[in-house]
Amino acid sequence: MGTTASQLDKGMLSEYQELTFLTKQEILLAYKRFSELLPKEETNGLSYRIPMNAILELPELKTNPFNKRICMVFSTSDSHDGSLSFDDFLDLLSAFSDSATLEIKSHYAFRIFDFDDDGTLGRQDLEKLVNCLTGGTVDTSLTPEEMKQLIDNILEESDIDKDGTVNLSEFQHVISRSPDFVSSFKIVL
Amino acid sequence: MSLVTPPVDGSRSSSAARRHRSVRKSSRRIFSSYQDHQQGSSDDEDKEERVDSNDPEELFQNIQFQKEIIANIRSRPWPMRRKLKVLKQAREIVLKYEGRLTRTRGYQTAGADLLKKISRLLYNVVVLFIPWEVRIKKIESHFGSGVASYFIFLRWLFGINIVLTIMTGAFVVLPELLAGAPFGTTRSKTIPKEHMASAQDLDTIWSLGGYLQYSVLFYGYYGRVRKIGSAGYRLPLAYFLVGMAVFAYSFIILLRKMARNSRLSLASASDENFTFCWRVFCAWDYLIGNPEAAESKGAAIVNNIREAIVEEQQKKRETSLAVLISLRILANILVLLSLAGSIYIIYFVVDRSQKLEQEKPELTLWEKNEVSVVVSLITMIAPSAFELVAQLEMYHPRTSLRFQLARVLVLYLGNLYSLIIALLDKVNIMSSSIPWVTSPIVCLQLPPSLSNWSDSSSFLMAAFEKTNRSQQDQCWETYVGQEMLKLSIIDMIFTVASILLIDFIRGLVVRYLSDCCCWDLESKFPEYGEFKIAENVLHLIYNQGMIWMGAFFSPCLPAFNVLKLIGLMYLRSWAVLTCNVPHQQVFRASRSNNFYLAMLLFMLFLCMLPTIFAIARYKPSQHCGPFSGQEKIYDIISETVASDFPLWFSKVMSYVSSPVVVLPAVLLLFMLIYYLQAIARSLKFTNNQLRLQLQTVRFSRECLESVSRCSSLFFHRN
Repeated sequence: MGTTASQLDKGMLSEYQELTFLTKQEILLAYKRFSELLPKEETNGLSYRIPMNAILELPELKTNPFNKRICMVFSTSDSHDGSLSFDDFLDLLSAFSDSATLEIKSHYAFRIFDFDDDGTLGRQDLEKLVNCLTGGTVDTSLTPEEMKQLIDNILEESDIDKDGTVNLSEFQHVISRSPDFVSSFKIVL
Repeated sequence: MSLVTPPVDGSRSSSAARRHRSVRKSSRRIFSSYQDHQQGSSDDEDKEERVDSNDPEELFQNIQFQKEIIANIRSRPWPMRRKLKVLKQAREIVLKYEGRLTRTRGYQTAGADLLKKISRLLYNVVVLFIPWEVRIKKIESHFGSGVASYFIFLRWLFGINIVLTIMTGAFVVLPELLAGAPFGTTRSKTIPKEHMASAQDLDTIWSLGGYLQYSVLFYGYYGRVRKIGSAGYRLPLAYFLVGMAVFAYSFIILLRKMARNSRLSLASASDENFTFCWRVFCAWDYLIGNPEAAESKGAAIVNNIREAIVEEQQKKRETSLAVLISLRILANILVLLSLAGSIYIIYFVVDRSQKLEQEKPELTLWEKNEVSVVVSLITMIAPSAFELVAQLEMYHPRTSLRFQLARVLVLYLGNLYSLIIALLDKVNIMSSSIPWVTSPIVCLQLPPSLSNWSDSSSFLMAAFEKTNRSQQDQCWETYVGQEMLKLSIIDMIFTVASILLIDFIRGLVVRYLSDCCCWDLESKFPEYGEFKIAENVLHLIYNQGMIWMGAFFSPCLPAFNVLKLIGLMYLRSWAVLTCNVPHQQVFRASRSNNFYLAMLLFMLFLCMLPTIFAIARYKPSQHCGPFSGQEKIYDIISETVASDFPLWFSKVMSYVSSPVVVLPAVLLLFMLIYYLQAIARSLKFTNNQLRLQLQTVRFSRECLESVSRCSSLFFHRN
């Protein structure tokens, strides 16, 4: 057990409880898992940024096709390299927790799917999204005709103002009507 | 907190305007691009919130507003740094101005703070008590949220049954055990002499006779004394009220959960169709942590998308239409025949057991348990038979899943109902049998000049005792309770057997015999089993229906069900992790989350009806139970109201329950339902109008832009 890792003090703990959807046990568990990823000589876990490839080793994120996007979205580092501090890690767990609201989840889902970070889901974003879901190999990915048909259908269903892209409110409108979104958009440590 | 204060000075309206502006700004912040360069501007805006006026009411409003910000901060999609900053600012304001509050307001805020602290502490503690978290998490990561939803449903039913157990245990079972007449004192609590010898036999215990029959497990044990113990606890009244409360609590908790679910997914009755969007945006299950499960999920998503594209293009089927229709008709006829057959078999078996009981004094083990065994066998075999028949129909897998669910539900309901109807038929016979109490008195009037007077009198006494004893045995409520408990026990045994035999042995065979068999057992028949979510959830619903049907007649049935659910949880979670593989294709039974809850509600309603019918129609047994001697079971209420409440109360109650009040109330409810439906229809219409409006606005904006471009070009050229 990591007895050398610095403990989370009570003040920070109650603030984190105020600011996230996590319970006290979940925050402590997150701190424990985060400290396991720290390099040995680092004692202050709260300020260190863990690089993206170390985060992606977590079993909960390893098999996720959107793992890199998730790290990029929640990372607040200035160099945009996807590294996560403990605050970012808690933000991630809070958005993916059981008690998070639908608005938070749909907001972050939108940002994860927005590969080019332009605020809307255009055709390129949707194409990259589908390729992530289907996997990279030749026999599982869709043919160009199928891809075009699929994206046309998606835009027809969700694009209310017919501008060729899906913006945040249209996305949230679609997601709010889905019965499985809330239960599947979850990551639990 | 009163919001109606006269405008003391102009700053009140201006601060309200400021508040409105800041709320609008913050909402706009969410929708715009998410870089943090807006951090600087937010500091200036928040400084505006500091109110300079000394008006106490306004201070209080402002402090409440800041507290609202603090409470809602976790719902903002901001990074942690920003949330911390806003939190600090809001807290500073609260601290700074709280000291200036008047005393009453100060107490109010202190009370609210304390309440918040306590509720957070309580929430942290309650979360500790949620059982099986680790287990369910492991299943989620291997199989996804579909299979895990079965276990979450099981855990929720477990919670309900624990509350039901506490209700019946605390208010009915414990008082009788502690303060009621002990075993052996009254006639309804002693084992009759002729059964005493076999009371400890294994097969008597197995068929719930002997010591188990005359115990708190069943209705017959409870005494009819109106007040027991030193405190005068009214046991019969409590028994009746707890019986009704079991149903009331189940209804309330079920409806509450359904309402919460329908608030989350807003379009349960909507005709909007987002199939492609959902198949792409909501496709991935983020709970999956296992590479094998991730691969199979990926393959399932590809298949799903391809199938949706194909459906869109509407390719023709290969088989001819006539053959298909005739096969489907054949399949439906087979299913109907088997449903009718199962209902008939159950009725026949109950009838036979009744006849056997009258003819033979001693029954074999099989004959005593025949009914429960037959019912459980049917519920185990018939769903698989339906699945085989459904292969004839060649429907799309989602349609065939729905048909399968409907058929299995009809089967379960048919079984339960034919069982209860057959039982109630027997009850009818038992409760309307002519009492022989008068005949021994007639016999004793014989002239004492008979030569063998002593012989005849002892013979008569023996006859008198025998008829009384056989009447005492005829406790129909205990009989119904026994049958329900027997059914539940045997259903559990069959479930355990089917899990072990079908899943576990199949897994062993496929794993170890695939080397020596000529074809690959793992990819072709028989393969590893898949966890049948829909059928297992239906089986849970059927199980709960059994409990609701029998809870009035056997107060310990919910307690037994708690143990059964615990065993089922551990066994099924072990079986699914050891013997099952993740699904290749998962089809939802319906679009809304409330599908299974709606079926549970339906089952609750139907299983409540036999109890209500028995309470309203049949005379309670003369010699056993808390309601013996009354005309109807519900007479206990009118008796209590008449004897223990003041006179005006019983008059009021009789007015309220007369048709004069009940009929208008029912009419009012109907009108309310119609009105709410009309509102729902008009809201849907408004929704459509607004959507069209959005499109028109966009279109007209584009038109304006192109017109202005043309005109600027024109002027530019000129």
